Amino acid sequence: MRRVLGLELRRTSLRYSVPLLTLLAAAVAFQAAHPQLATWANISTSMLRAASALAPFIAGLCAWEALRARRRRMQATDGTAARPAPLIRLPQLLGALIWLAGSWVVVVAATAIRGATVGLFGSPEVLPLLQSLLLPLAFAVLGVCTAELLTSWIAVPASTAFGLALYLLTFAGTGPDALRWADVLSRFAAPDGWTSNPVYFTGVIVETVGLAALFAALGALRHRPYRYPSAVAALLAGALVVAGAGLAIGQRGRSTTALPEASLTLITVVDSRNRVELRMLEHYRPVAAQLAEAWGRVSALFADTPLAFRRIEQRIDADHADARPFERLYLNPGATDVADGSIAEGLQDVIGCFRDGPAQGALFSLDGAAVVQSWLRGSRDLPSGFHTPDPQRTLEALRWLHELPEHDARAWVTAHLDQILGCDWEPEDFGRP
Amino acid sequence: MTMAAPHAAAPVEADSIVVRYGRSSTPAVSELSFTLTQGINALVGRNGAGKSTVMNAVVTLQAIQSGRMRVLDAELPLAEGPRRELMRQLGYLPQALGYVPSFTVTEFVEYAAWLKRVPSAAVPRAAAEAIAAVGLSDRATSKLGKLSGGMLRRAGIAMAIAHDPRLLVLDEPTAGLDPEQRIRFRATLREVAAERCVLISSHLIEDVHAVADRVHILEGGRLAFSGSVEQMRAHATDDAEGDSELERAYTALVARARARDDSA
Repeated sequence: MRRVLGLELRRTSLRYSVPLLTLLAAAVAFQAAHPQLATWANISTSMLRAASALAPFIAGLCAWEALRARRRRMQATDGTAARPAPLIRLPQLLGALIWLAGSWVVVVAATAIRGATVGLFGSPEVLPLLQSLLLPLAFAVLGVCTAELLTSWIAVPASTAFGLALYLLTFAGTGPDALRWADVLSRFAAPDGWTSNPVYFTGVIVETVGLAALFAALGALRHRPYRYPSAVAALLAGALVVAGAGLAIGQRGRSTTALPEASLTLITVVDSRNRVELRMLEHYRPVAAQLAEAWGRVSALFADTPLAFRRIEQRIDADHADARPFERLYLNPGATDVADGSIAEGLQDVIGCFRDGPAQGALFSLDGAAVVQSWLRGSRDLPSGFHTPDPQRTLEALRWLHELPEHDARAWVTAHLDQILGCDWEPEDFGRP
Repeated sequence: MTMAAPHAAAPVEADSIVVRYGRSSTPAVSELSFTLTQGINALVGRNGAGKSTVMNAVVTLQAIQSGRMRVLDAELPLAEGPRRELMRQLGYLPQALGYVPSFTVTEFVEYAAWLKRVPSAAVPRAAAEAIAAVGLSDRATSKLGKLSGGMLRRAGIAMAIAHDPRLLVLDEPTAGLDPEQRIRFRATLREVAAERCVLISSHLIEDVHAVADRVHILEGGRLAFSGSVEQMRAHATDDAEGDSELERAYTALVARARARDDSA
């Protein structure tokens, strides 16, 4: 068996397609990875997303590979073999699984190495990572066994279609709730303070293994002498699928669970220039200095106003409801620029028209709010997606604010606090005569 | 490679077998009885005469509808376990040899040996000996996709003999070979047929003349003749078509069988 397995590893057509799949998986995983931070929870999310995205196509590729005996007219050779028919396909299947497992190792290593360059935080989330490995393997089994059952090229689209149907359940949100909750393709993403739900992932792992066993048993059903054991195996595998799906449905498809507050470690960072203190979860350490500098500047600008603050803290379950200005530190680990995103989000609690709409009768209301937001973020561009009939005038206002000396800027904020809060802006507020 | 021990009983015996494809009312092989002995047995007939059907029945790829057939002491049909045991003792080269072009000759033969459950430790030696037996040792590491038609047929024979079978079934082994390749192939065949029962099918009379110990002529799914080459030669008539005595014997025997079928 080892010799034939070695032969399959050397000669399988997957040796051409798996490197391409690996590149695609790495692209999906990198795209799903946080740009500035690296956590094992995020790596698990990235791996699951890559596995879920590629699984249907892995099934199709493996179906094509499994049709090799038919494509190469080797049925007579197989038909006169002294080995049981299902065993003849085993080295080919194992070869495919080893190639795919190797591809998984490469992508995990690549994302982990990339993470290590940023500062990888946390410990591996074993169950989601295991599921990200099992998904492509199970779909490989699906492809091989569909080919074994249908014995024609139709197995390629047929096995791919199964995964695409799961796409509809998971990503398009179609179908009954129970089916979506039991779907093995993952929607897992653990926000701050949350981790993978072990019961849910145990369920989907049992379900995935059960599905692979079920496909294998159905594939063997085609061979008459093995029908009885295959049928029994299919029933047992079906029971596994039902048990796993039951666990996932019992959790209502919740892939995450809140971490106990006591287990969360917060770090304190102080901006050396303005002495503002920031409290945040440990994994933000790579961007802590940027955050301290950005919030230090905002703190300095509001220092002479009633909104002055010296401390701002991340709250795990934070939303904007009932939040006082500069009370909560909002952090999005997936932001392209965590510090910039944090200021923009924090200003939602300050600039009233972001919540309540523009002030009545003020012509420059939204333009002024956008100018102030960009300025406080330290940006020389207007917020993305912001449209104004006179962008030249609005950009001039922003430039004027940026050119204010530090002392004048602080005085300007103190003098215009009501407008900042209420968005009651006129162009004259930005230095125009 | 060790040769199989001589077998006392006839390796293959068929008694009034009928083979029908699907729901066809006309059987591909009808009431056919024959015996294969040690040495080279040639199955001769035109295209569609039933040669491949008989071969597929012998290697159990095609079920017989009625009649009795014994292959290497085993009465067909067989349950899966005994059938697999029979397959260990049987080598088969189909008319259209299927292969993976990226496999080397050695890989191809080793894979075939694995299919025949040759013990793992014995596989490299068995493959090397089979490849040497067909004269392909110098191309052992060549990819199958790079071989000529003649070399491919020889690789096919190596694949069929790698597990040292007692019964070797070769369907049209000389098809597609040029004259030089055919001559070399016959020599190879004589080598591998020593102390083994070989069944080859062919529609080329000169192949039969060169290698066969016994000839079985099929016409319309029925047996037109069974005997030695010399016995066949005795049926030649002056008015029969053919360039050689053996060809005239063949056409005379086939014409007689057709006349018999027509009158029936």
